[in-house]
Amino acid sequence: MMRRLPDIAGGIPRRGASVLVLGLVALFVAGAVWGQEDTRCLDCHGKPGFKKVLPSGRTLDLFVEPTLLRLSVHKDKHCVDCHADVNEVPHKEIPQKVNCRKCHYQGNTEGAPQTGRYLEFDNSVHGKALKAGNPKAPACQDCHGDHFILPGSDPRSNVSRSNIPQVCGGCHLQIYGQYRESIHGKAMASGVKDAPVCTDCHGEHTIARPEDRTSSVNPGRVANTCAKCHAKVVIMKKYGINSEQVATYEESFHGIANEFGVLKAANCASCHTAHDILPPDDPRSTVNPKNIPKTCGKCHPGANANFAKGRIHIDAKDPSAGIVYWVALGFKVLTVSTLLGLFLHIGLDLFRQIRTRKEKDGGNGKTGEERS
Amino acid sequence: MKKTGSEETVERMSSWQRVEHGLLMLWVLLLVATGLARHYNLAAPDGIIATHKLAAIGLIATGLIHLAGIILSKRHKEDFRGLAFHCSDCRCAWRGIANEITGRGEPPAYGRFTPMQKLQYWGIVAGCSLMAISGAVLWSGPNTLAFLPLWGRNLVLTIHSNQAQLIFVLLILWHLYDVHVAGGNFPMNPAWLTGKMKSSIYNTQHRGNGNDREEGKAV
Repeated sequence: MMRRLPDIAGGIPRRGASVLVLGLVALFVAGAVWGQEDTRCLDCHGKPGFKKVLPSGRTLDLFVEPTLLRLSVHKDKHCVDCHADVNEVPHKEIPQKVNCRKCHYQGNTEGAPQTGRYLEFDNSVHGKALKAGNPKAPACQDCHGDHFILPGSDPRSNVSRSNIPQVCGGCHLQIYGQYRESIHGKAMASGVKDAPVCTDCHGEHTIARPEDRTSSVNPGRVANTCAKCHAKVVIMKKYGINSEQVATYEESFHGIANEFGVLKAANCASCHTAHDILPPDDPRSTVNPKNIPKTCGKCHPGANANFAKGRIHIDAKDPSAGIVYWVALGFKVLTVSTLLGLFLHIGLDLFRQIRTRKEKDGGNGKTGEERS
Repeated sequence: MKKTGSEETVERMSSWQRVEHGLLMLWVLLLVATGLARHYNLAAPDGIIATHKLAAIGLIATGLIHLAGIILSKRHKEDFRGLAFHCSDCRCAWRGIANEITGRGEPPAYGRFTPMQKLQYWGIVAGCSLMAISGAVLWSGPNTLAFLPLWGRNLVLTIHSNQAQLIFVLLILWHLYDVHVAGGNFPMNPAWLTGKMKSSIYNTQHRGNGNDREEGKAV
């Protein structure tokens, strides 16, 4: 007869204790199996400095730090879960690039997030290039990392906001250099969480070429993209930036033409540039008064210093608009006074008409009732 | 004074003045409609701006025709003189307001044109002139920046759009009230169509105009 386990202090029932013990045993056995499976891979790949020189001459680092894998979101996965084409050790062929879609699809039962991002990626500029066989096109692991994948909310993650510029800069080096020097890049580097990174403007899995109408950086959509932050009073107020810039652009000829599909009309990036945006007081800035003739001259040949004598983003309701504000205010007073004069005129005229009618009625010596 | 049917009428506008008035009405309505559409982004700018410019040309041409009429026609010259402001207009307007409020005494005997009509005429002349000048500057687009600083162009744009609102209030709202409601004109003073108005109404509104050609003096 099987001896029953004694009660555990604290009142856990005996049956519960049995389940707990069995669970621990199962976990141990599973861990051992997991360890065994991966140990065989790590016999080689766990050795620091393990690498291979490819026929192209490029050296491929094949070392995998086991601790990192166990800290990642894939801690419960085995090597062969992803490297599914490895069926012998040592493997004779170079394994194929890991296909994350094996688990990451809508409706998966693997516990992977239920999102349609894979489909979004397929339609992105990266996904299309990958499909077309471009060897330089990035796949999931090029951005998210390979063995040390963490959620984007983890600051150590490749795709955490603060790390995104470096990740994108891995391929887009020149743009990364421009971004780092820009007001946005410097703000991000100094820990300003509101500062935009690549994905805030370009999107994450939906990145498309600027020529693509669906792209968030298409000339027809740039203003909306910038407006996501620059039209928000709460964000702009924190940094002393005027949030009316978007509205004043939308009211301008450029903004209206752009809204109606005239893509050659200037958008935010046409004047401020896309990646090396600098504050206007920086002498290198394209919107520094000294550089404005050159900037405007891109579209308006012969632009002179007069283009810089005044403000492009002018809000006639703001006293900082100077004479424009005062003239607009004068007109407002005049228009309101005229309206009041009109109402007074109407009131007096109607009053007189009613009185005249009453007087006529009185003169006839009849009341309204008698006449009817 | 002529008799039409059972009602005696008086000629108020010559056929040429009615054509001018019709043209002015057409251009102003077009300018207001396209200007509002442009201001509030209601339609694609290309067509709107083209129509706005066409109407602006029409308005300026009508203004020049009006000016030519004043120079060349004796009647138009007399009408124009009649629209000049006199000190008596202020006194008359004040007496009119006092009479309307209190009902005491006689209403002032206005001449061929009431002070309000004079104000509207000169408001239109000043407003349209300002709109034409500022519109011409805006029409040239960024080319004006060859001689005008950006703040000057911003100022011209502000004047143009604000003046448009003022014209809308003064010309459309106030003038429509005067033509259709004020002084017993309801449902409409037909002078802008037939050139004539009922002599009974005319004699009430312009009692001081004993002689139709003795204009401008509020008696």
